Amino acid sequence: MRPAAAVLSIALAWGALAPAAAQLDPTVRDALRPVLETARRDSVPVEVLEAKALEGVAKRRPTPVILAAVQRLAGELRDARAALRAAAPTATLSAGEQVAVAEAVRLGTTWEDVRLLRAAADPGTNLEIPFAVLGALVERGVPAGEARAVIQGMVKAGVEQSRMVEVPARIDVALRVGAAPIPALNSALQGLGIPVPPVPVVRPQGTTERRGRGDS
Amino acid sequence: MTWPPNHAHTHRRRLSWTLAGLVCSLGLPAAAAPAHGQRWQVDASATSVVADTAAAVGAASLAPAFEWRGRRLYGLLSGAVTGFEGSTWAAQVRADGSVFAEPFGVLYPARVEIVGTGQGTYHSSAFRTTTARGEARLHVAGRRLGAWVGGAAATGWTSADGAFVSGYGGTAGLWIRAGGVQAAAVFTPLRLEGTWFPEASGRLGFAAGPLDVIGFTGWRKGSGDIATETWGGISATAWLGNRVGLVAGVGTYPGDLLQGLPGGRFVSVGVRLASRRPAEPILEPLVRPVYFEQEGRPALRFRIPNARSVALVGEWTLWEPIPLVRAPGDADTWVLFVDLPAGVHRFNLVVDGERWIVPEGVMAVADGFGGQVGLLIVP
Repeated sequence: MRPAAAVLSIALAWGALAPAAAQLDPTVRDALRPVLETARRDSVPVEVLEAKALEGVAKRRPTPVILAAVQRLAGELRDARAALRAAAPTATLSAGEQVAVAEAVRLGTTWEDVRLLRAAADPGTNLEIPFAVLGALVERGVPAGEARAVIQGMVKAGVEQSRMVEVPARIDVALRVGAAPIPALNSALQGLGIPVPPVPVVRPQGTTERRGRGDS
Repeated sequence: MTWPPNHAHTHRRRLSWTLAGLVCSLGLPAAAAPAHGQRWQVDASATSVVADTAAAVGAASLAPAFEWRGRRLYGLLSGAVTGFEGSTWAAQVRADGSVFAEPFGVLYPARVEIVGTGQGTYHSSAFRTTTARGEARLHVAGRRLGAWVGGAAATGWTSADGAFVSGYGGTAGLWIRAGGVQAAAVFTPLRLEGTWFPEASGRLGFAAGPLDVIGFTGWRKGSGDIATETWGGISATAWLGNRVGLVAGVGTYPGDLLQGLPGGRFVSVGVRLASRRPAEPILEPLVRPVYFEQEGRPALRFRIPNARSVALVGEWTLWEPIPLVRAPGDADTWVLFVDLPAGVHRFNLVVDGERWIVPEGVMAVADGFGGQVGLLIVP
């Protein structure tokens, strides 16, 4: 490649990646600096916070709103990190896993279920996608404890993540025809042929019955 | 290497460089390429070259190239095998790689790039050359305009005398994108064996219908026995579809100081097979948003009825909008070809330039700004 071509190619490739940063108001940068420095000291993934700031810029939110969102996310990530670390002190914590936990909790997952899932898995296993799917199940009305038990079973059974991520869409199909969340979950698992432990079903009157998959 | 270089080296050796350079410069108009992903192409060309020191010679060449892009890494591997009149041949391989860093964080529109290039040529007469070049650049860029400055070091070797010639210099450039036109101006002074050789070059590219057109020009000040050179030319690719194009080019090119090879003039025609055209038409429609591979091309498809335009913004674009294109035969389905790594990716769609949505069927969470952001889970 001629020098100009090489330079143009790389410059344009980079240029396609960076423009949002060029739009960032200096006042936002100044306001974020102490937040990011604190996050860095606490081993919170700073790149996630930077991405959140750029998202705010892209969505044309005012500086105080962006700052508040970044601070809130920093707090969530700090809590996620603490929960994961407490559950599995030797596990490697990825930024993606911490973000997935924060989002799962935002969707209704409990911190106790986060700890139980992390503790039950191999310390070397990255649970970013399992936590994301956990959040998706909770969002669809599956009680957090039951959702965690199912995800935990899939992780333990070594279910491929490509199959795991299909569960929420399968639940949607069942929900659309009127199924309750847990029967919809059972139906989804049955359809995917995922071997999991029996899923507890909570009846309207509050009693709990253990049902195997396929009983939906 | 004897200095100044001996321009009596055969023009045929030069031809392989010319062809590979032509292939690369024609084939990879980067602005239309995705931020992440890879592509390949193979050119079969017939070329006539008139070198400054020899008569015209015809040649046929086969030139593959593979490009890979990541957020912080860029790689390009290219080469050419050329057969000449008189049953001689030459082969060339070239590797370009860049590493990008964000020393000030992604919130600042500045990046540092370390780029390296290695190249080797072999001619059937046993003549060989090798060159290497490294640069460090500081980029400052916006959406449509960017610039960089940096330093460079280079070295070259040929089997003609078995000696190396080395030098150092600078690099500075400016690029602009406007109205579908991309242009760049580059200044690369290089000091070789105690003599400065200032060089400036420019480049302009645009797409018009099935045509990709690139024009280039340049100037290098000479010194002593080495004359001042100017060069320029134009090349065009007429795409017959998404994977096949007819390529033609004409122009002049400068001598190569590091390899001691002369400049000349060329006319080239050929056929290009590629993994895809950079600005690509889209294939089959799909009604629900999924991440899948079709003919090796990962794509996102969304059904957005009655939209005039749809763009995707997400973490992996640093929240810069990337336009989607309509699927042929289905005006309500919009497609983006993108190769995402496994993990959870956050994004929104911007419909008609103003409405931010999470498409139906995609998990959404509160974005912290009073709206929602979609989660795309890639296993």
